Amino acid sequence: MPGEKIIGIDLGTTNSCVAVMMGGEPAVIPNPEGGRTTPSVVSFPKEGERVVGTVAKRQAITNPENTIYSIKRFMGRRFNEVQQELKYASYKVVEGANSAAAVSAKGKTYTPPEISAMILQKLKQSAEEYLGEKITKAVITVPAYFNDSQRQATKDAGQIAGLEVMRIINEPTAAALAYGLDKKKNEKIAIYDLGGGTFDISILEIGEGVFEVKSTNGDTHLGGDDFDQKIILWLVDEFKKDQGIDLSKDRMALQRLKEAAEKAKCELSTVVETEINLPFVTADASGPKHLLLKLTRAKLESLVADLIERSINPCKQALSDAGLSPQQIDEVVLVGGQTRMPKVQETVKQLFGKEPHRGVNPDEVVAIGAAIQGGVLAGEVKEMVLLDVTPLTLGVETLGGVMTPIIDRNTTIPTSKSQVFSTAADGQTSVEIHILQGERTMATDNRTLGRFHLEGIPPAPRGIPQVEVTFDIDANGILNVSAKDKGTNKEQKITVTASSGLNKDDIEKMKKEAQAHEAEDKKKKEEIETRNQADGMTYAAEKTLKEAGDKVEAATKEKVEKEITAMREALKGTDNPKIKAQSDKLQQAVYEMSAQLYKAKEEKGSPSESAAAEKEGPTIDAEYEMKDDK
Amino acid sequence: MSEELKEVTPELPQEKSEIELLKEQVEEQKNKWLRALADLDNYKKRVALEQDQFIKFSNESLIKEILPALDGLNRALETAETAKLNEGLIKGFALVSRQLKDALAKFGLEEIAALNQPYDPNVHEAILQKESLGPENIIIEEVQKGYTLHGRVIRPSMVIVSKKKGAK
Repeated sequence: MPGEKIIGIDLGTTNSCVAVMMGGEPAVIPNPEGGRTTPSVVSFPKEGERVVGTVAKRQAITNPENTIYSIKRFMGRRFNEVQQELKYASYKVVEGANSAAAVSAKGKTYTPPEISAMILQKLKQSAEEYLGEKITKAVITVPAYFNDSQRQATKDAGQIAGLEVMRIINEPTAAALAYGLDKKKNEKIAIYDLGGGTFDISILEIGEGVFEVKSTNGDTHLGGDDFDQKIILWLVDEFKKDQGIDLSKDRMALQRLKEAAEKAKCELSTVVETEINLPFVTADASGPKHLLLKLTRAKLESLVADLIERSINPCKQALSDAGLSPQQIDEVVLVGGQTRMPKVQETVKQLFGKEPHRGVNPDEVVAIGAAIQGGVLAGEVKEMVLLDVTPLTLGVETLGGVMTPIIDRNTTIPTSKSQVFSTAADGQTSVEIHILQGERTMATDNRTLGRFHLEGIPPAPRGIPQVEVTFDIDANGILNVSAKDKGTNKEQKITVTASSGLNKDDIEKMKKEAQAHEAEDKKKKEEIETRNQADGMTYAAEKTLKEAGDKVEAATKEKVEKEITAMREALKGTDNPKIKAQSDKLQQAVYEMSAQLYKAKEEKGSPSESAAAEKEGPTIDAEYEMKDDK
Repeated sequence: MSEELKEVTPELPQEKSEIELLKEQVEEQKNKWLRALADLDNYKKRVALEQDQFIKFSNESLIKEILPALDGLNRALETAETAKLNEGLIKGFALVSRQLKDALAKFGLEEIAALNQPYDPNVHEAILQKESLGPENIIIEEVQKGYTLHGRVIRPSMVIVSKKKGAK
C-alpha cells in the first residue's frame, strides 16, 4: 500500500516553509499566493476570519495589537522568562495557565502552540492543495537549543493543527540532512544560520548516522532585517546631506526606502554595484525631489560590518563549548537568506577555514531536510530504487564515419529507443551496425561496443530500404541492439554489457576529451554534412535527369550535367568551401530544371504525385543513411 | 527414525517461510511498482498544471521590473498636473503612460482598485492609518498602485487606511 506522505515543516520565527518528497526528490511547496516561504504571522481582524501569512503581514499596521508575529519566541516559555522579549511585541503578552506565556488578541487569550497551529494549518492546506491528497503527518523542526517544554509545545501545535508529528528534529540536523551529511562518519559539522531575525550557530557531530548536538550559541535579535535597517539609515542620511530633507519622518517615503534597501541588498550578492533610484520620493516648496544613489558592495559591507562581527563571538563560544578548534570542523553548512551575502560567506570561511556547503536554497534548506526525514519515516526514501543513468551517449556509425546518437548521455534506464535508417548506395543489400559509445562526433574517436551485419535487404535505390535500429538498455545496464528491415522483417541482434570495462575515471576522461575537441568535432561534422548533402543532391539530380531529362530544354539539361560533373570533381577533393559553393550552383541548376518540369506537367494538365516527389529530390536526408557496407 | 524426524521438522517452517518471503517480496514489488506508477501519474498532472502556470506567469519578473518605471511616470504626471506645467506636454506623457499600461494589460496585468475602496489585506498593503471623519477602514490615499497578473497579486497596492477620529 503506498504510504501516506509525510511533509517537512520549518516553523520559523519570521518565515515558515514546507517541503515534501516527490518521486524521490525533496520539493518545496509554494503557498497559494505563489510564495515559497510563508510569513509566520497570524492576525485577528476586527471583523471577519483570522488571516495567516502574507495577508496577515500586509494588514499589520491597521491592526497592530491583534497581529501576532514571532510567536516562536514564546513557545513553551513561562511568562517570567520572556520579560525582555515584551518590548519587541506590539501585541499583548499575558500570563496564561500554569504561568506559561500567552498572547491576547481581540479579547481572547491564545497559547503560543495555538497560534503556531494556525501557521501549521495554513502550510498543511498549501500542501494538500498542491499534492491533491490529505496530509495528516509531519516532521517539524526546532532550534537545537529548544528545551523539552519548547519541543512539547511545538508538538502540541502540530496536534492542534491536525497533524500527527512523526518527529521533532533540530534545524541544524535538517540542514545537514539536506546536504546528505548523514552518510558521513565521525565528522564535526558547523551550521551557521543567519535568518530574518535570529542568528544560531550549532556544532554537530555525526557518528553512524546519528547526529549529536555538541554545542549551540547565537543572538536572538540579529538577522537580515537589521541589515536592511542599516541601508535605510544610510539612505536617509545621504538624502538629508544632499537635499536637507529628513525622510525618516515620512512614512510613505520610508516604505519605499525599505523596499529599495532590501532589493539593493539582494542585488549586491551577485553584482558589485547597484543604483537605488526612487524618483519623486518626496517634495518640498521648490518641487519634487528624487533619490538617486549608488551603493557598492564594499560600502554595504562597511555599513553592516558590526552586524557580521556580532556573529563571530557566538561561533567562537560554540567551538570552545564543544571543545573543538576551528580546524577540527569537517563541514560547514549555511542556512538563512542572509548567508547569501558574499561577505558573510567569506567571514564563515575564514572562521572555520573551510569552504561552506552551498547549492541548496538557504531559505529552504531546513524544510528540505525535514522533508527528507519525513521521506525516510514514510519508507519512501529507503524504498526508492536507485535509478541508474547511462554515463555516455550510445549510437551507431552513419555515412561519412559520423556517430549518430540513439540514446543520449544521462538518460535514465531502463529505456528503449529506435530510429529508422536507410542505405547509402543503390542496390545495397547489407548494412553494418557499428555500435558506439562516447561523446565525440566521429565514429573513430569513440569506443566500439560491437558490430554486426543485417544481410538480405532486397536491392533497391539508395534511401528506399527502411532499417529500424533499436537500442534497449535493461535495468541492469545490459544493452540489446537490434536491426530490422521493415520490408522483409529480417532481424539481427546483439547483446552488449554497456559499460563493461569502463570505470568512473574512463567515463570522466571520455567526457573531458569530448569537451576539449568540441569545436574541432563540430567543424568535422559540418564538413561531413555538407559532403553528404552534396552527394545526395548529385544523386537526386542524376536520377531526375535520367527519368525526365527529355522533358527539359537542352540548355538546362546541359547545365545540370555540367554542374554534376563539377560536383563529382569537387567531391573527390576535401576542399569544403569548394564543395559548398558547388552544391549551391548545382542546386540552382536543379531548381531551374524542376521549374521546367512543373511547367511541362501543368501544360499537360495532370500534375502528379511523382512530380512532387522529384522536387523533393535534392533534400534527401542523407544524414540518416547507413554506411555503405562494402 | 527419530534422527530423520529431527532433521525434517526444523526444515518445514523454513520452507514455509521461504514461500511467505517470496509472497512478501512480490507484494512489496507490486507496491513499489504501483507507487512508481502513481508518482508518475501525479507528476504528469502537476507538470501539465505547472506548464500552464509557467506560460501565464513567465513575464512576471519582467513586468515587476518595469512597474517602478511606470510608477515614476505616473508620479511625474501627477506632479506636472498640480504644477500646471505645459498642458500639451502633460497630455503627451499621459498618452505614453497609457500605451505602456495597455501593452502590459495585453499580457494580463491589471490595476488593483484602491482609492475609496474598503481596505482588503488580500490586495492592499497598509503602510499608515490616518484619522478621518468618514467611515473606518476605507482607503483614503493610494501611495503606490498595485497590480494583478492573470488575477494573482504580483504587487499589492500601498495604501493609507482611515481610522475613526479619537480611536487609539
